[in-house]
Amino acid sequence: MNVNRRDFLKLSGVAATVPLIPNAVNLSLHAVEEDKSEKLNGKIVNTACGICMVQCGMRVFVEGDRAKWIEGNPADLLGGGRLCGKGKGNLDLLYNPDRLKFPLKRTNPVKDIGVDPMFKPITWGEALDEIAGKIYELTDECVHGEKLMVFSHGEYGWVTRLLTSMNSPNLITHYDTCFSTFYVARKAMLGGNLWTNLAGAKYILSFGWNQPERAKNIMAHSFIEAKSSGAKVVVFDPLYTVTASKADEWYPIKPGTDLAVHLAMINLILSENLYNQTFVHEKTNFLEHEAEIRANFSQYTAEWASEVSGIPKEAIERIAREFTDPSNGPAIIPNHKRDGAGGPNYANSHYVAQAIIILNALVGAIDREGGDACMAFGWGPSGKNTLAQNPEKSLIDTIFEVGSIDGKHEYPLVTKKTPDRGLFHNIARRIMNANPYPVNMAIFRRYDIPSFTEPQLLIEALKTLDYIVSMDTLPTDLMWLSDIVLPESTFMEWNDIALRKLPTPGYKSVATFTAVHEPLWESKDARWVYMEIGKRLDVLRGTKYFWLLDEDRPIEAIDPVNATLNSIGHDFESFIALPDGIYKQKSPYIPKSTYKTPSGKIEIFATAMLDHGYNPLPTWIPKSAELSTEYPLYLLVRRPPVHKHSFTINNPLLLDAYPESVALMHEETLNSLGIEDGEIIWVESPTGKLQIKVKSSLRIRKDCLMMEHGFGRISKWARYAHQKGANDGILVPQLSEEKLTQTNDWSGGARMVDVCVKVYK
Amino acid sequence: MKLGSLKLVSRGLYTDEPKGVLVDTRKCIGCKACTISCKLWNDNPRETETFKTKTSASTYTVISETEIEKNDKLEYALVKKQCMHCVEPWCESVCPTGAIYKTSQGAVLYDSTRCIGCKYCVQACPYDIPHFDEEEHLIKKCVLCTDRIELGLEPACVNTCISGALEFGSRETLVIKAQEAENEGFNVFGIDDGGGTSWIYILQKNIEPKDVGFPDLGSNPPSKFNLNMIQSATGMGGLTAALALAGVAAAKYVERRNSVSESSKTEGKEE
Repeated sequence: MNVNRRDFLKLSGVAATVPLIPNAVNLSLHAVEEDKSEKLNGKIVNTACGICMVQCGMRVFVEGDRAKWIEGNPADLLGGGRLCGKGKGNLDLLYNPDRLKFPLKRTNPVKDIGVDPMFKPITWGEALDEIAGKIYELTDECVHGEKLMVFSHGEYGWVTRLLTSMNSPNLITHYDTCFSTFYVARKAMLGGNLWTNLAGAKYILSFGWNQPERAKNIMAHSFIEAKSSGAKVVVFDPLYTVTASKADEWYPIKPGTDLAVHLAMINLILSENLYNQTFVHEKTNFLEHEAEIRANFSQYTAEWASEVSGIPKEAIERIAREFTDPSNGPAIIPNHKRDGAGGPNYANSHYVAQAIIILNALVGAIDREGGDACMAFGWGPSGKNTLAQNPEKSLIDTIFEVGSIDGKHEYPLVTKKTPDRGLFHNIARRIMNANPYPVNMAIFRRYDIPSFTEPQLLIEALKTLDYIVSMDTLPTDLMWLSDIVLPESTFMEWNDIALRKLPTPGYKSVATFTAVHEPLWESKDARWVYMEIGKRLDVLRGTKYFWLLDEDRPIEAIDPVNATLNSIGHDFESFIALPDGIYKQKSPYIPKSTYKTPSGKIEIFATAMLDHGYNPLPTWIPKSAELSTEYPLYLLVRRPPVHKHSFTINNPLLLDAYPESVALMHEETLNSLGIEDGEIIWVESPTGKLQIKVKSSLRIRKDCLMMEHGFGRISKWARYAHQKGANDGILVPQLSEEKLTQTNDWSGGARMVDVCVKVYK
Repeated sequence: MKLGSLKLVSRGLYTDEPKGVLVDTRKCIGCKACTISCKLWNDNPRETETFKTKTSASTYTVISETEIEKNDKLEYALVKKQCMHCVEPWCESVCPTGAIYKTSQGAVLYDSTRCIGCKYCVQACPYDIPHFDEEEHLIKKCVLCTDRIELGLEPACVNTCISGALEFGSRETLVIKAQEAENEGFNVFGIDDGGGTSWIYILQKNIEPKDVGFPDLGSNPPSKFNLNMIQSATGMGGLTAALALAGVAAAKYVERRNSVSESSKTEGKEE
């Protein structure tokens, strides 16, 4: 039998085949059970994926009021017509049966984990009136705005306006648990935020950089492209990651010692004058500080680095020479959020961030001509509405004048470079100690208990507050402690601009979030919620902070979108009429002639650090937690490829692909402990303990244990995620300020894995 | 189907010739976008309890992970598994009713109206692929997204492969690419294994097909209407046995399936 399906359907349609078993034949059935092509009926909505910051172009096939299929937009340069698993899971987010459907109000005054809040549905009018009224009441009629904390993932502009209008500095965000180290180092040393572009790279040196395993679309794709085109890849990582498995060389480095290798490499490159002299002399401030720079690194020999890191001396020396050899280039050290070495993982991660910038500068892999194989600037349009009244003080001024409940005023460099960035690392103790002042109210948006280190302490802190609002799309763990729960719609139900940061050298490109249909149930867009709270406070105070000056009316969510799109000659309506939903304009990548740094140059010698009392150059300090007989394993944490932290854990399609977190340990370590693959074990640190299934592996150092982040949810309303896996944050302490200042740490990084653990049955 | 949508989605890949997918495992990052895309396209049930290491009636494709130390080197092999769409399918060779058939485009498809539920195909497949859904009484497996191919689209998995490890095209072209890799010293699978498959794999130099669970079939295809297989599965002998069994099984199967479909209708109403 050799027919195609179309022929077969024709044949069966006229009953021309003679059924072998007559009773079994039902001609109304399709010959192929899986004809799913009706999914592609209906209209295509061009939009973007809002799961991660890349925001790949995405298109959704919508029939009537239902999205049926989702795929990458082939016209988009960033996504390249592909979506990762997280993006493919978006319809299971949009139509998730557990979605928060109505504003909910607690009726049980007793607040604790596991105690039913006895929620009752209320209207948006009731919810917003109550929230605005509570803010007014609990901040003494907005005189003591600092009593309000807003933990908001995104929409920083509107939250900043809301807070600074009442002189509150307390916009609290997660950046110290994510990328404040490298973000601030880039701002300080390069004058802006630059992103790794691997296109065209011929020598890739990874220190824990593992974006392919995290399925970051453009980064995974460009890495594989570079590798396929013959790039040499060297990976330092305690885990044999997917990136390491594609590499030419893998070094299972001792966790938290990458800095030693960096320092020794810099020393060798400087002492043998192997650096790119044209770039370094012309574009950086090296010559101005040459003696200090050379003196700083001269003590760090390859022998010493080898002792610290366990990497053979010869390998460190050879790799330093290969990395700088122009015939191997262009060479680059890629770096992204929460990399093994580059994120805020250890007590020395701020120096790692500086060292990686210096190493890239030494080979000219920063802002390179054409934008390929370097840390490159991205581009996005900008435009502003004129509002009738503006807060008297900026957020930065408010932080330094009032002091911030997350301690941002103690990190002047972080605060000046990134005022809307926050510190989660000691927020629980600061709330409990009323340091620097008492707070009584919190609004959370898309942050949840697993977003924080030491959640057990945070829960105690939150119980001391008078009023908690939480806003999210899916049920959160925070609901146990919330007075009001607000249902937020997804990015597939909004109209907004996708402010994409990653560079697409050669092009300026813009995409939008375009609603595929009306928001489901009573869910609302977070911008609308913040604006509505602001408008209500305007009425209570007689102010006009949320009022458009030109048009003499309250501002609406679409106004800033139109203002931004106006700068590229569009408004939202005209933009979505673009045939492929993407704005693209050829624009050659031209390196900057001056940088927004004190010297106007790329600053290998970071005067911004010096000006704030920090070391201008990286020096060696060890990570803070070391192995002991009691805690004999280093903790490592990674993000599984199909999940975006706790945000996607209740997504059934993604849980189907990755259902729980496990503790990955080396086979020999497990054998020596008498633990079998698949057993449930206790993992304990000085901070806390948890139970988790163990997975035996060959691809991890024998002295390490790795967990995936985002699991261990305790929300009973999230049916798929409830109690799946465990929350690694339980093992990680909230930090004391003394500990941070001891290490000259300008970043306030949360030291997400600077922890040792023990395991037992 | 609206023509507007069709024009936009079509990538002009439809031609009436044997097709296949080249899996370049050197490029696979194990991100599972393909398995998620497959489940989404096929509306397969979400099973959120345990990790899947094998395909099933509700999961047509998985990424198999193999950690192996060979020649003093640790390897971490990520290999997508699904129906191989054999050039001469082993499942088809034992199907007594013609329910399993091969299309001219290369897909191995299944006609439930002809199926008697004998599960010989399940036994015969050297890749452990056809799965009998005990509730719906149907064989379930990857159909090479025949519905998409006919619209000129790639299979749902290929459509979203972010690292470029999956390439859809004419089998002939893909075989040439695989042979080029083989000439460079990489191991390959599917060019002629078991008579050849529509899914063809390029493996790392240090990884042999058996390391990642592929069977050693030699290059001979299965003989048509594989009586040995039926005899071993039933303990009966010869063509007579097969046909007799087919008849009995068919009657029972149709009865059982009708009763299941009735009961599921009732359940549907109650909801």
